[in-house]
Parts: sequence; structure tokens; C-alpha cells
Amino acid sequence: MKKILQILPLIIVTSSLIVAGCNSVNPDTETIVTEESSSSAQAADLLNEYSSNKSEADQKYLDKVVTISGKVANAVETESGYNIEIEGKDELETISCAFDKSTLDGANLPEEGSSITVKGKITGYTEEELMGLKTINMVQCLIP
Amino acid sequence: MNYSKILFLAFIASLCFGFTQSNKSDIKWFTKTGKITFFSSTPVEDIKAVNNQVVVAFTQESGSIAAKATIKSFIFKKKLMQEHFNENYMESDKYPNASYLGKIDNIKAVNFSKDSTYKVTTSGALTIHGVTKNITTSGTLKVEGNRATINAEFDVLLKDYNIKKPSVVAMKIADKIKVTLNASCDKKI
Repeated sequence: MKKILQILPLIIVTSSLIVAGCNSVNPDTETIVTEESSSSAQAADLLNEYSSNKSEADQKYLDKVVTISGKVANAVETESGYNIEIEGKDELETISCAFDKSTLDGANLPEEGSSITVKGKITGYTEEELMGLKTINMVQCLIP
Repeated sequence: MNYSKILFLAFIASLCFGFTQSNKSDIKWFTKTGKITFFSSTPVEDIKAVNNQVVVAFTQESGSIAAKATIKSFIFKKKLMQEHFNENYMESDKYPNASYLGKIDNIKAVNFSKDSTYKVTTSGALTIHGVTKNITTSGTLKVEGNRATINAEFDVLLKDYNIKKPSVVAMKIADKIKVTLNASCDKKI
């Protein structure tokens, strides 16, 4: 028993160091982009580039930080933050921008139809079959 | 062109026109902020990831339903988990999207003019990691005016979709992943 009590502080210190070490090599996922934008574009132009040639657009934009300008189609609260959709040529073609809770004021989300510029990382593009919904997704967004 | 040929062509044209009109009149519901959560539970570790940018659309008359998600929009708490998920398991550069295309089998049981929660079943093709499998799921469709919210939960076996777990982390990742979908769709007016 005495031996256990003697080595207990050592166990506690060692465990703390292991936990701290694990956290330092496995940090939390970034919530906002920190890099500079590699390019800027109007939402409608970027959507047009993707729908014309997805693989070419992916080479230029996928996983890259891009600044997008356009009109707000809608803004909603999500489980992890907020999502703002920027309209392309109509409401069926949008750029979907995910924001962390810490980056926007939920009580003052941008209004539908207002102009907006968003910086974020592009995670992909989808075309849906039933309605022809075209969407570019961006994460870690912020309003510069 | 003789009279019978003209009649036949007119008949075909009217059928096509009628089909187009019925498709057009089939009311559509959609969202681009559907949520998919997946949860892996093992004695070693629980892992959860969320994607809040899922595109979901369905038609009111025919019950056709489609969903699309970009794999890189799944957010994990830990950066390393997210990197492993994209690079090692899902190979998201090679297979960037997951999709579902199917039917709400009992769409006629849903009264869209009466606010309520209806039990629904769907059957269709789920594509993950480049592999397509037919699945059947059950869930609910909650009608509230011009909004209809779909809730569903189903399991995905990694081996069914040819997703391999590296042996070093095999103990941390479950063979069966619980997937939940929550999508509040707005009526397209």
C-alpha cells in the first residue's frame, strides 16, 4: 500500500503528460480558414465553371480557400453553427457556406437578398437528379 | 405522310406532353442544409461526424427522393480523425460524394395538407465509396405547413461499401456505423 502511495504521484504526472501529448499531436479541427484566398469570384461565375467542367474546376478550387461574392439565398442555424447559401443564377444553384458558431452573431444573420462576401474552403460540388439542384460546398467560412 | 401516321405521331406527342405536365405539377420539396450524422462506437472510442450541407429533394406525388453529400463536408472534432477519414477510409479525392436515389414507398399515406408526423419507408440505392447498394429504411416525415422534415436512421456496414480499416486503428472504429438523416425541406412554390 505504501509503495502504491509512493508511485501514485508519478502515475498521475505521467498520465497527464500522455493526455497533453495526445492532444498536442491531435488538435481540434479548424473552425475558420487561416490561409489567404487563392482566388475570388462571383457566385454565379463559380457555379457556371463547376457545371461546365467539374474536374477542371476541382483542380482550380477544391480544398482551396476562395472568396465568393453574391446575394444571400438564405441563412439558417445548424447544430454546429450557421449556414449561408449564396445564390447563383437562381435559388436552385447556390454556394453553401458553413460557419462555426463563434464566427457569426446568430441574432444578426444576413438577410435574404442582401449582398455578401464570404471566404472559405471548398469541399466539393454536387448535382442532384430530381430538381437539378447544383451546389458548391464551403466550410470554415468567415465574412472578411 | 399518311393520315394514320400523323395521328400516331400526335398520340405520342400528347403522351409526352402529358408526362411532362404531370412531372411539372408534381410538387417538389428540398433543402440544401440537411444534416447527416454518423456515429461509430467501440469500447475504445466513440467517433462522431456531422455534415450540415446535405442536399435532399423529394416529390410529393410520386415520392421520388434524392440526397447528395460531399464527403469533405463531414466535420470531426479532431483534425487527425477528419484527415484519416478522408484520406484512408473514404478516399474522398477519388469518391467525393455519397448519394441516395430512391422512393418513399408509402407517400400516399402522407397528407400534405394536414400538419402531422407520418411514418414512412423508403427503398433505393445508396452509393458510398463508389459502391452502390439497395437499402430499405424507415423514418418519419413531419409536415408543418410549407415545411416537411425527414428523419431517418439506418446502419451502414463498412465491408458492404468496401471501406477498409487500417489494422492500427481497427479497434477504434466500429464495423457498423449508425447514420442519421435530418432534413427540413421547404416546398418549392
